[in-house]
Amino acid sequence: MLLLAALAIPALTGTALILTGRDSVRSSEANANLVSLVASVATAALVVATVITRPKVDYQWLPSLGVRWQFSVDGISAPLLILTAALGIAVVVHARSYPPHGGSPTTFYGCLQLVEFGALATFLSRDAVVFFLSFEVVLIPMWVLISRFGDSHDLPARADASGRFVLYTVLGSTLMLVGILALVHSAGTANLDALAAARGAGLDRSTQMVIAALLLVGLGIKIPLWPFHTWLPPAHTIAPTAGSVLLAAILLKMGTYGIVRLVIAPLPIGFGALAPVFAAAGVIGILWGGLACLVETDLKRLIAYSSVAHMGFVVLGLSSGTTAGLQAALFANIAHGVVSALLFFLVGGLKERWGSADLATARAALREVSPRLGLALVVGFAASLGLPGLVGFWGEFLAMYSAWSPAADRPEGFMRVLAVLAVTGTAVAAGYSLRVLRLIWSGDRTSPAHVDAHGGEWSVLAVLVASVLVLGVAPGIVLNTTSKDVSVITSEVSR
Amino acid sequence: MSELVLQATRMVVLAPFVASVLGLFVARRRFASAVIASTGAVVTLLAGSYLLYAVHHDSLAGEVSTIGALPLGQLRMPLHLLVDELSAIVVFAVGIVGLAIQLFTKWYLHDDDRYGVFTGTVSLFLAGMLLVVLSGDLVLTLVGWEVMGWCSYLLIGHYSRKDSASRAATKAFLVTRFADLAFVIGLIILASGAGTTNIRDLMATWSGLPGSTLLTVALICLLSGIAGKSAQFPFHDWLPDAMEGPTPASALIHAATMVAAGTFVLARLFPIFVLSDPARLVLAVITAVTMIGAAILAFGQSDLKRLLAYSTISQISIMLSALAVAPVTVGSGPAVLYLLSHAMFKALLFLAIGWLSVLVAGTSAVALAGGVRHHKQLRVPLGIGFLALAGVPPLAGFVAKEYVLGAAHDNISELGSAAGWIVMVAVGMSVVLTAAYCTRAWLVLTHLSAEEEVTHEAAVKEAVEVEDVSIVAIFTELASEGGIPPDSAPASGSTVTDVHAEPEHGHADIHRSARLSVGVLAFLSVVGGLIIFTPLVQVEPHITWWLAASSFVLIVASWAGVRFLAPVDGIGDAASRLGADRMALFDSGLGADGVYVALASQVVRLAEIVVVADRQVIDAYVRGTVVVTRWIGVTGERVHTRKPSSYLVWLLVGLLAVGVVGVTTW
Repeated sequence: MLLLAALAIPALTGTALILTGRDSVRSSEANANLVSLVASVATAALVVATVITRPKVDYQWLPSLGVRWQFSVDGISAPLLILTAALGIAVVVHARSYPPHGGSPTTFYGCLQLVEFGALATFLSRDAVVFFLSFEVVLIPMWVLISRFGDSHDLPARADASGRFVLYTVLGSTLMLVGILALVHSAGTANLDALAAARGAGLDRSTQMVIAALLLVGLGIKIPLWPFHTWLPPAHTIAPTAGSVLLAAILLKMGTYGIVRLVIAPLPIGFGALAPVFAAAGVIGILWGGLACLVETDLKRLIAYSSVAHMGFVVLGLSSGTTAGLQAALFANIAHGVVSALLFFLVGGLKERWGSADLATARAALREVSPRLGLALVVGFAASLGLPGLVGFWGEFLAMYSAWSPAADRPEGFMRVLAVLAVTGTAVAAGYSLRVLRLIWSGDRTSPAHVDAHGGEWSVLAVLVASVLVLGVAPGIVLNTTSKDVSVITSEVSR
Repeated sequence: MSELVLQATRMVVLAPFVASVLGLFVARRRFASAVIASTGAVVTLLAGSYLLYAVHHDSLAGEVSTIGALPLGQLRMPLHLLVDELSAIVVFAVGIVGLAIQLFTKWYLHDDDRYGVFTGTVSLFLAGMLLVVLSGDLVLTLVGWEVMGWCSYLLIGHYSRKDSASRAATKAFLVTRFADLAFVIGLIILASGAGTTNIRDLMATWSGLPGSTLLTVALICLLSGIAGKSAQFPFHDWLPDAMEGPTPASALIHAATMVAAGTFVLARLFPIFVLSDPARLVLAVITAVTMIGAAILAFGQSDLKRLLAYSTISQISIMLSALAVAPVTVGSGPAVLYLLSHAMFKALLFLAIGWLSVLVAGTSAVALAGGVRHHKQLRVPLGIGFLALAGVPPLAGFVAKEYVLGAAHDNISELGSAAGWIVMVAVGMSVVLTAAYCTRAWLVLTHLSAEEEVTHEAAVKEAVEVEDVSIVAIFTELASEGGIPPDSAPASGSTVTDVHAEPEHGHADIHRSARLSVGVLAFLSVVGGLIIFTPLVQVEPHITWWLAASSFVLIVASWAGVRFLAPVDGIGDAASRLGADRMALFDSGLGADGVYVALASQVVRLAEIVVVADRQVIDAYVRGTVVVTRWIGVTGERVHTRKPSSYLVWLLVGLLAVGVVGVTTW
């Protein structure tokens, strides 16, 4: 009941908001925000309760296909659920400081609720087909957020970015759908737990490889994996702050989560065969994204490229096939969720203040005029470069470790080369992080002055800064949650 | 281990960490920041002292759990701290230096609007260093190591309004981070080979594989990171630029922390480091090159703070070289001894130079010339510092250097390896060079031109009582006037004897606590050598007399030579004999910065290629799908001619095709 309520509240609130209140736009802004806030907080409370009590929901839906409404929580999805619910609140609180412009506020908040609903359903669902449907639910409201509420300075660019986002990711969805249907058809069940328990039994190597390839490309577009990443920077550049945050912190995670559920667990042999290629694409992404950040002049694009690099570490961890690697990937997922949310909230606020996110324009130094934003920026980029003791470190370090000592069926020499290249990527990350700090944090300019973060914006930033520190100092909070279910997937004996 | 020791161990790291977090909340309130930071440092020192006592008195040593082991399948990561004789004494030294710097900073940055942030960062820096020292786990070592690196970025860039400071900070972090790439790989190799990150366990595993190539690779990788953090060739050039930071930050980075962390890590891993002769040879060569090169560069610096920076680079080489040569029987003792004594006298020198630079408003040789004649209260501390740095007996620097020479001597007699000879020759040469630049600095500091000499004599005669403020005087003064708040009490030494009575730029008189810090460090620099007669460091109390005697002769000869070279005119700077052109070359560090910039610009060029490829190649096929889709749409539209006759034809063609397919596949 808890679980269904956690899904129903954002779904109903979102639909209701979108359907009502086209008129009286002015008065409905505050109301829509309030309604959204109440809904998000209630959802978050229910999600926490769900994570603690771990209920199971199972209803018949399409008996001919063996598709059922199955929802439950395990260690792998629990941290992602909490992250989604928390950011669901954060985007609404942050929007109090920056009301949406470009369309009806009720539509804006309604879309936020629907995205949250889709993400929660994706992480909760235990049926491959329901998983796919939930995944797709997210795309349309996200497209609305980008195309209606995005940066209106350059309308053709906005149309291109939103169109590209929806078309390209739908291409990914199509491949994913084919892959899921093939998987469900050949394995004879759509239940993710049953698929994981079977560990690919009854599927020969070539079948596994074909299905895994379809799913890896399809989900790879969503992550986004190099070379399928070019939809992300324009989408981030144009999207409103809330859209950027949800996109980076949650939508990208749905891709890697899908790989754990649909590829690694049910198709171990097929994935093992493709893992070196997959890992190589991830590592190229680490270097490629990092290098692009060294010369990128738009701050939002820069963070988007850094996301490509960070997701590369997740991919590397997933590919290693060890418990350490999978743990690393799941941790890095959460870490990137927190850090990218922090950075996009920050940069979204800066863009509102500056009028653009262009780094080539001389600005007032953040440390001089807005110390709170300055502090958040320093912590955010320190975490982004993987500074030990902050949240970004554990996932990246363990991913590199696991690539150095991968599972027995992986090509060790090749994976070690990848590990060394990934380590190099951390120096590039330091380069672009310090570049940004030097450009906008330090310096003696105090004009044009802007106001420091306060109210809703500051509370969101402060909570995220605190999370970066807490999870960095105590990574066990996440790792202990995920470890049991991860070791089931890798069937590795713990020491 | 008793519960008290467990808590004390955690407290050592936790106290400065908590102080830094709390400090962030009160960063705008000067007094609260100072209280929190000092309390953190005091708690650390007390806990550290207790650890030192417990380790030696009750022979307690062992591991202490922290945040719990992380569940990582085949990899064991218990994240333990390790308390033993090695970590206890270094914790103690770091505690002393840390507290001294916190107290000094309160005065030094008394009119800085970011004092709170600075002192909080110093606390975090200390937490990082103490974590490295107490770490019993490679991952904790890495955490402390990088936290220190990040804090050094913030401290060096403290004056972030200045572009030069921001550049120096960025350079320091990027150079050390680049060097750390190999360090991380080295750690991963060590951990992966043993299946654990616990240092004692993995050393046990690797000890079973002497001569393993992978071990040598891992150790050489570690050396890269150590060379970065310890500013060894070819990563040395960040350290002189780091002088852009406030002087207390320099003292912190140079003395007991960051640059010495490499020595500590290697001392911790000595049992496996000693197994790999190639790695030891690499270290010997790196340190020999750095030791001599940095000492030569130090001599020619026109800025005395940069001279100290180069001297640090050279001194760290000596420390590390002890690890390259010490036989197993000698162990890491000489390196640790050098680390401890260097921590004291280098912190002393930086604080004293910082003090003087506040009085004369500058750190260049020209600004500081004659400084200790005008400000006599600095004569003793600076004198002690330079004597200890030069290694004059019986100061701490002398004792430690003899042990390094002794280790090289033992290596030659026991093992006869090339590393032994390299280090022996290099340290011998560095004795001469160190004495030379110390003499040069001292002569500049004490130099008065002829007319200044006259006015100075007159001024001194006018002063009613000339009081030479020694350390003893500092202590007695403190004891007698302890009740007066430090801020309001006039610094008696400076008012009586200073010829230039008040600094012109209105800096407050030095606080008593800052003065005490300098006094304590000076005291320890003098008597610190006696530590060899205690069980606190693992060295045998012996001196190879012919080595000691010959190094003393070298020091005296060097002193006489520089003295002879020093001109009587100008600022009495022996380095001016090099010529202005060459000094400019020395000041630029022989163009090392240009090499770094050239390398970085290659990376940026690669980045530009990546961006072009991203837009023109990878994105091209994405845009291509749009073009293709549109083309299909346009073509499809063209087919729809709105003429029933043509549709009928297409229908027939379609039916025919279906029919053919149906018949053939039947």
